Amino acid sequence: MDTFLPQLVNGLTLGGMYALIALGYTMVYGVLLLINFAHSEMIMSGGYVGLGAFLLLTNEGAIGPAARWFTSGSALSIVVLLLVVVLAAGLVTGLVGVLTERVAYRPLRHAPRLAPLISAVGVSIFLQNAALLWIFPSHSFPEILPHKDLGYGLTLQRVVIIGSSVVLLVVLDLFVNKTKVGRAMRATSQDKDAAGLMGVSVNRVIAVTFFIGPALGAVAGVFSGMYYGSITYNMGFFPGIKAFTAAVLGGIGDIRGAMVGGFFLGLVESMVAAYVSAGYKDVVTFLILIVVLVFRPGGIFGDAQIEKV
Amino acid sequence: MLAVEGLSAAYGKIEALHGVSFTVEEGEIVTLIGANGAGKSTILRTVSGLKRPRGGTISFLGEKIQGAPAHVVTSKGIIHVPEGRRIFPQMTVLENLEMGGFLVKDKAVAEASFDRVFGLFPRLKERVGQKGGTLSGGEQQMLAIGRALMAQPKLLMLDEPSMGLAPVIVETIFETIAELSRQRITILLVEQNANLALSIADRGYVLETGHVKLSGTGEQLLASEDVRKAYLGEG
Amino acid sequence: MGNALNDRLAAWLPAPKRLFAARGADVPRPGRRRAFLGLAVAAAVLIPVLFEALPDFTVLVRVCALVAIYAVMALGLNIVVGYAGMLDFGRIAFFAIGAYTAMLVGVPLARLLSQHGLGGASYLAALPVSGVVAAAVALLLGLPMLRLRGDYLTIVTLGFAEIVRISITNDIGGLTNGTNGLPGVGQVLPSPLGLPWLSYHAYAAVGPFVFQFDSNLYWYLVALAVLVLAVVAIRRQDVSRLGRTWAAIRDDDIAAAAMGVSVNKAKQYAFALGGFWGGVAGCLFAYYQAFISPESFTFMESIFVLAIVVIGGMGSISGVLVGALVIQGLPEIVRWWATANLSGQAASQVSNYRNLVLAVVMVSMMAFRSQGILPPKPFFRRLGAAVADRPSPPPGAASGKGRFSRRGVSRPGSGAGAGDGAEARPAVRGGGAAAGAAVAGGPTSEMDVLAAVAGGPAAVMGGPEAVIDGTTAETGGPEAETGGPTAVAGGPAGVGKPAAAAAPLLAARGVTMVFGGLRAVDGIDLHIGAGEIVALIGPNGAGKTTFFNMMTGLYTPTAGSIEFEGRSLAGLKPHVIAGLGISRTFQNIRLFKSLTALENVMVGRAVRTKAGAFGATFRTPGFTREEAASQAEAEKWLAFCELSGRANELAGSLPYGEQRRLEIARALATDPKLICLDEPAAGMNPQESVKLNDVIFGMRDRGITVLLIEHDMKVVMNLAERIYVLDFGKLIAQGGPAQIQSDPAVIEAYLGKGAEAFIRAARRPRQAVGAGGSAGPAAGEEG
Repeated sequence: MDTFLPQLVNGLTLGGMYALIALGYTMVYGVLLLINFAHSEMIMSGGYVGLGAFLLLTNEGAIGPAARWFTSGSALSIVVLLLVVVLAAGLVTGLVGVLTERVAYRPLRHAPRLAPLISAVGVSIFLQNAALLWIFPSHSFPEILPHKDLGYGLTLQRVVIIGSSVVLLVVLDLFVNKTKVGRAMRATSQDKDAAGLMGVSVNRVIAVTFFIGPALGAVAGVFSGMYYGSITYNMGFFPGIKAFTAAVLGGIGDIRGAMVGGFFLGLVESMVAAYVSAGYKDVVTFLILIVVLVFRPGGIFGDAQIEKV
Repeated sequence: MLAVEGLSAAYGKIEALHGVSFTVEEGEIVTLIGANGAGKSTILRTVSGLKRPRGGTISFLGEKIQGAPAHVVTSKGIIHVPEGRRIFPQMTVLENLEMGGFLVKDKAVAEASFDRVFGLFPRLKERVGQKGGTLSGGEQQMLAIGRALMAQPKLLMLDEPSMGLAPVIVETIFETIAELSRQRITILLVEQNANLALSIADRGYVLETGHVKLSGTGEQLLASEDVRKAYLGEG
Repeated sequence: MGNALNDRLAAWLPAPKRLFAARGADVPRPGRRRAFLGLAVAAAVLIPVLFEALPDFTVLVRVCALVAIYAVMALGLNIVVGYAGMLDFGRIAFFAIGAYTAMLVGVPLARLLSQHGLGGASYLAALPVSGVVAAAVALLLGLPMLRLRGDYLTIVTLGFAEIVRISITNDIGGLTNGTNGLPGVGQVLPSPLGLPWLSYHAYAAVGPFVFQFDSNLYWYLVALAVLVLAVVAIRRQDVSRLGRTWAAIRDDDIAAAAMGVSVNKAKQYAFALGGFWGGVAGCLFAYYQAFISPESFTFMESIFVLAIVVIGGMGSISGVLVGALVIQGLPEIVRWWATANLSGQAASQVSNYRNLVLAVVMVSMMAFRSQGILPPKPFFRRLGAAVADRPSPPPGAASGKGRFSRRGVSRPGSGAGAGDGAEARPAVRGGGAAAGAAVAGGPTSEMDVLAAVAGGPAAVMGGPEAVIDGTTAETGGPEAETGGPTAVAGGPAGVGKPAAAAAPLLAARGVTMVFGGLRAVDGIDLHIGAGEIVALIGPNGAGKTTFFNMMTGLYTPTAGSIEFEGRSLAGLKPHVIAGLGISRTFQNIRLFKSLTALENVMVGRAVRTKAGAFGATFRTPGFTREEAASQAEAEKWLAFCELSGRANELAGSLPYGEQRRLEIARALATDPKLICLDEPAAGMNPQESVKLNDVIFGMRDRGITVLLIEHDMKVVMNLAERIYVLDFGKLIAQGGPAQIQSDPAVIEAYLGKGAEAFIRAARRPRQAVGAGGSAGPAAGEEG
């Protein structure tokens, strides 16, 4: 139990982040049938923008005395600081996402399927190198929240990460299923032409999708920075692939599936690292990905589809 | 009401429409008939904005709409029921109908539309909670038309509503079309079943390989030797 | 009589020998091409030698070596991505496997050989070993993976590459020494090794000059030699049965499978060959660097190789070479120039910005020029001049002749068994002949053609009594099913295959297909006798195409059985079923659009031929013979479908009606016993459907059984001997054309009110058409 419970907490923390990221893959795949390879870089962007916001808010030279309040350590200031950091990361990254769609994917909407995927990998490499060359290769990331151990490896930080992931997932689920825009989104993913004929602006729905997905990925990026204490230009690569695996596990295109898949994968990973081998924990993810794709390509919950001839 | 002038459209390098012109007047049922590949569906797709024209003009109630995206055309009151029905398979009948009324802001109008659709198609009311994809072909066609009616169409464009349906159901669908026409909805109908289409239509256009070959009233075309030979399977 | 037909067809096909002579060349002007290639190779050798001689330029030799090594790897990837159409994000895995194999095999081998003074030669053994090991891993990996489609496959390749990299980093099996890497032969055994000509610091005498070879130049020349070998081998594989099957699965894997191409096998071949060249390149890299560590095998390197292929031009060898030069070479050259002329910082910026620029180029390339710098040339790509050079007869004249003679010889044969109905038939096709003549030259108006076609059904019907007689005699009613096929097959004596008199060719019992609760096909029983033309009709969505898909192995029936020649088709893959002798066409034409018409038909031969990578690479006599035979056979079927003049045109560029006939030619090239045509007349204009009628009767005359889905009742009633009617997945009627047209259930469900008019029309007397029938053949013989 000494290993298990802390690993459970660890797994849930990772799982919350994976689930947030997986939603971006699954939503974009739902509307465009595209694996948005550049989604990994949305996590990175979140980390970078979040750090930028943090440094700005705590810099007295930039914003004056208000910075002193943010560094005061009062509970309220910490909450506000964290909220602003997360919001800034989400907002800016969401706009980056919309921009990538506009520049790299929209011109290819009727191209053969290889083309957007190659374009996506181009965007991914571009964003990584832009961060590497124009910002910095890596930087330490503040914990923001005070370090407080609640037992079994449960810290305040982890509680916040798990809690806010769950809240965001629930909000997104309500958004997609209960609002008009969400309904338009579902309609677009089922039949773009028909959605257009209903009066849905398909381009706008796609833009919204490319805002929400990257914004959630960016939140995961901030969490990841807080959790590991640093950010790097290629920090999105592994979480990206793992979250994609989570999306596939849950049946790509299925929002609730992506959430479940994210938590499942986080748990598997932390258990493997603890009980099998830390060096091979990433290999296990890839093996799961391959096995699921080969034997249950519709995901664990989904069903296989027959191609129409 | 709708005036199409010199419309051309292409798929890649292959031109599918070469300068098609026709008009639809308010309150009419106008039909476009012709063989597979003659360009009937392409015309509807181009009018409704699913496909960009290569040339020509489309005006609706005096306003030029060629090249406008589908959701803008829909907002003008041109509602297209596409070939193959294209209902949302993962949504319930109710959600499908709600999607149809996507642009309708007024709650009371939406309520009235529900009543009208359920009045026309009581079958849909029975299946309100069922997923669209599980309906039979005929029910899906009813849903597709019902969904279009939710949008308060001024001009309703129907693409092959009889496709793949048993004759009994085709009869129901065509009775509905006649009923809608009596309710002052203008209808542009594309059909392969020329006999049926011409007998219900006020006017018709015969298309062949991307242009209008003949036009006239329904009776004229039904009586025309050429049409009888080429499209009604009479020799 | 049938032989006369074959003779006529053969008369304007080239003799195989001449064909082969013409085929030796893959491109229009082989002389020029050879000269160009010679020049290119000479330049590739001499320019780096020159660099080596000039002190300022010596650094560039290293660049050349890396370009050559990456070009080898990229050529391997090009097989996978460019030819077979599988996007691969993890190619570097095979490069890594090759590199580590080279180290693990090469070092001990070099130690061993150096005792005999041959230490420098170890790479000669390590190269093929690395290639084979990488290919074997690719093959193994491909077993489960290649079943995946599209982007899933792409992600899995990425996952595999990461597994390989992580395993290397974790010092898997104690072999890789983790992140510290492995030292290579060059470090383990100091040079010179063994013989001077194989050492790293060798000497070469060129005329009066003596050069000291630096190891960079040495390994460059080795890599260049490997590259030339790779280019020759891969080009030969592309210009072969193998290359065509790759193009086929890339363009449309479902159609490819239906034509008898084993999709998995073709993918395995591509994957393994790509892995082979990846491994070979990895070996070169390991020897050249003399040190390897996991850092050289990251995801970014996979993308780098992919960029070479994509930006150079997927599917084009010259494109890949140019890509390697531009992407691997250009940044290095710019950096070299910057080092010499600008500050050191500027020089380091060049390599820093390489990936960024690459990314921008990749994205903009996809938007503006997705085919790459040097895309493959479709027309001359494979067969080119061989067909284009041969004078082909003007299509109209030639086809007219072929058709008329076919009609002339084949019809009377069946008359013996068919009685009254048989007389009606030639009359119908006489109508067709008149139309054919009109196409060939006669200024007949369109309405006349229509009349001729429309005359068809009338002629079939004859007087009401003749109809009934004809139908029964020719096809056998249900009760006479065994006799029917015999009578028909006996007709075209000498042409057809002997009919299986007792058992039907195809028998379906209780076939059912359920899609998520919907019974698309519901307990269908039907049988088709050898030599029959049977039609399957019914409203859209009645389950006709679903039935075809079950027959041809695309779907597995939920219940029931389908037997072909007494053998159950249950669980057989589409290409196996094609091999048994069932071929098909598709409702929405599915041609291989990047291939020419001739190549499309030659893909159909894939199931009857067997040459693989070995034959293609070494151009064995068996291979060349088989290729020539495939081409001759394909040309025969093109001629049969009146498409000879189109042989060298891209399939996608043909007019609609010709595309439909090309699909038929492709299906026929598989030597089917049963051909399934899915709405062959859809979208055809009247002239085209007349031609189609001829083609279908022609098939039957050659002993091929025809199953037809069609909505055009003129075509159905004209062609079919028996008709099955489906509605909502159920069989609602079966019988001869007349029976079906008067069946109340069919009129109710399908034919509708129009049917009555149709029947009325069909019962009109048939004078004009009969005249056409007798005139047709006569005109043909004269012309």
